[in-house]
Amino acid sequence: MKTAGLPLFPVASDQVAITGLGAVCSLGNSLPEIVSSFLAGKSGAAEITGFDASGFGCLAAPVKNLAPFKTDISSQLALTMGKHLALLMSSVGEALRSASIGQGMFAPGDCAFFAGMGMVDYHVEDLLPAVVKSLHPDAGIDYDSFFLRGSQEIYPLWPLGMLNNVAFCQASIHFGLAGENAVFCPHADSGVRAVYEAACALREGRAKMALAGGIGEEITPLGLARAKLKNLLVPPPGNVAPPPFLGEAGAMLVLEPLSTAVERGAHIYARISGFGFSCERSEDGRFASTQAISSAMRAALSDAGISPEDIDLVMLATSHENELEAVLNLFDTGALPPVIVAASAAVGETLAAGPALSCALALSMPDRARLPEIFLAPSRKGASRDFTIGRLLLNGISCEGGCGAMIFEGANGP
Amino acid sequence: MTDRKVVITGLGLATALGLELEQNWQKALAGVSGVSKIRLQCAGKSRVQAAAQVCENDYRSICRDFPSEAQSGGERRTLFALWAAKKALSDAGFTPCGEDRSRFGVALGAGLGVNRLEDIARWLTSGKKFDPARFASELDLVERDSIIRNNSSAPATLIASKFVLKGANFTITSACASATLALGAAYRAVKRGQADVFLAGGADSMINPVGLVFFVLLGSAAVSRMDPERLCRPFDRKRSGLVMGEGAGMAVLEEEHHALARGARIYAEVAGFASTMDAWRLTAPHPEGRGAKECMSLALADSKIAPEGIDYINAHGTSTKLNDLAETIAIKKVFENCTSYPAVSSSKSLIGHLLAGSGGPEFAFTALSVAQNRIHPTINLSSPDPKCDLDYVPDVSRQRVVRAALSNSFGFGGQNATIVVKKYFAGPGAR
Repeated sequence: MKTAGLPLFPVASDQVAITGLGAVCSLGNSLPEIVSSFLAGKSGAAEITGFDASGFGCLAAPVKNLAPFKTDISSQLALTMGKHLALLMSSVGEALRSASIGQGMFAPGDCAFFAGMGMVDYHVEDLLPAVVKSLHPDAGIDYDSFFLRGSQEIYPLWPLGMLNNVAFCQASIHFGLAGENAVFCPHADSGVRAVYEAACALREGRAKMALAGGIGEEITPLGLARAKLKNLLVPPPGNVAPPPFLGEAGAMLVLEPLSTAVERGAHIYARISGFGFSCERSEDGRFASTQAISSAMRAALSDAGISPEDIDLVMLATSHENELEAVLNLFDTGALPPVIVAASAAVGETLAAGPALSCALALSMPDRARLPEIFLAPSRKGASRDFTIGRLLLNGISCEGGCGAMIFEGANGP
Repeated sequence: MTDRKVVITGLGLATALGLELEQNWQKALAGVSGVSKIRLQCAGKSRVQAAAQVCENDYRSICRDFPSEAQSGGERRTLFALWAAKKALSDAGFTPCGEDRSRFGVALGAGLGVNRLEDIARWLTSGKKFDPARFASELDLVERDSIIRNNSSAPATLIASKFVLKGANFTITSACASATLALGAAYRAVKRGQADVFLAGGADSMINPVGLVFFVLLGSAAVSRMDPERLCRPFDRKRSGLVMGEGAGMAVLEEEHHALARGARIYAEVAGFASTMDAWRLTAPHPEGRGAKECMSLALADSKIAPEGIDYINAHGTSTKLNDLAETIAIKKVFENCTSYPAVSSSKSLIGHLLAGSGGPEFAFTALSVAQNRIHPTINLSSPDPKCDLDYVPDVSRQRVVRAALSNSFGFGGQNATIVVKKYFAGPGAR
């Protein structure tokens, strides 16, 4: 939390612009598709069809029909790495195209890359033959059998699929990104951290271009189990909104120093103006506390040097009541409160992908778009209005207490 | 970046060499190996038979200190992280819960969770298929230390919760570079004023059945039946691969004036940091150490220290042929214009490879080298690989002035991180 310290960025340093956007989620495999579906009020939520999910009692929002991508790794390895790699390749590719950045435009060492990556889980079928060969006659696992025979049933490069930086490294190889980097994990706050670190790398002169964003989690029995055990899928009290659901997604932003972006004639989607972070669990330990969420947002506003009244649009990270309460408290300013959008109602809980996806979605909406009421925060129903993106605040919140907030100024903003 | 200085005021460790900082350091200087035969009862037929494990008594001590966490999760990585965090805060002179800590952050490099085969076996049908519907209805039976219950971020947020650290909190999962990347990001956060204090480092443990086959499958584990204490031999001709360790290393990184105002003891100053990507191959470092060389050079530039100013490098030194050679080549390129190369040693020869957490204890040893002018040895270096021909401080510790040092961490997939530590001298304005 930044309440009385120095600004997160040195005041005199260069501004950072967003010059490229890429995203893939249940609403579509490119941003134009996603925006069109979102504005039409569509939701990506659907029955889970890949496996018998009846016991989970929830919907999910999978990414479908993702186009194959070119890579120099074997198809079996790509399969082992699961959807993480596909989502990353797709969103990075679209972001670079939208920024009109071609190969060789930047030296690899000048390209920073930061991502929040959701947890990677093994696919049960990857380990099932090993387990079957290792079953104890009575119950459980006979580990002698596992070490002698079962383990030999595992594809030798399977471990790569279990490291959640490996898809990230493969994307780096493919797109020639050799500069500053890190993988943060696994919730929405990690997606904000990734954008923050990328922006700092640019402002502090350690990179000339940066990709930043996040990839969520694949919808698997293990992923759904984790979401349930972490209380991510608990409906908000009072049934004020539909129950949450997991959504697959990836989203990436291209960031550049504003001055050089203007110089090369890049389209400027927005400028980044502030960040805030905090961490505290709520008393029941199931989510970030309202106070921590509020602190992160206040710190971001302070960092940007603006007041709550200056914000036109708030993109919520989750459907949790603590976040909504913190937002409503902070923006209860009378005059013309910001539009509050819960994109998770359309795309699901997209975890590390959430912040960049919200950003890409908001910045891709046409001028004077009318937002569907069903995606507005519960207490803002009926408040829909035509609006032009000015200043946007978006959150990234973890059920474990981590909170991040960031503020963008749309190109048409003040 | 501002001209704020970032100093190291606290260190905490949990490794195979013990749970106390001084105990670890003295054993490291004495060249004591923490590698022993694996105690895991079910591992009798594992090809990997040795690892640097936190000893059983020490583990029990940690569990006694964090009873509810041991009871509810029992995940070793998390418990090690909590212990090291507690010791680092205490070493820095902070009480468990004290002053306003809204500007205290946590940055942790954390590894994989525990993949439990029981989480598949328990829900097999009679036809040996996995039954997801029954699995979904019996989630309370999922193993308590399983990855399904424990996110990678759980240790960092638990540390924040336990010690009331309310500032930025993040977890880095960049394979073996994770902890050094976390330390570097924390250093920069304090330097630019995002926080006054960061508790940063790493924690990991993969000494579990699936973890034991992990590096065997990838062909990088030491599976020789050599005496365990002699198995981890970085830069040696007879090395046979990485030897896993477990534990955690945490450091308190603090803004200089914040530390001085409360009379804190200062070990050393963090002077610079850099990260790069090989962008070469998923399964091998660049053979000429391209990314590693660039990383060390950028970290030096960030610290404004010329190569001649570096007296020691705590190497990544994994005891694998590919890494040892690539790192040696990279070091030679960075220091090629110096009259002599800096001393190099590998902590992994002593405490094994803590994987995502490895940069934590290695940073602590680096800081102690700078503070005390002593360098721990690389043990088991009896027949050096002729291609690895630097001064690796073989087998015996060394006393020499260490003005500044690098700590390297290079992650599987090609992520590289280097952090620079130098002697602390109070600047103008210091009281």
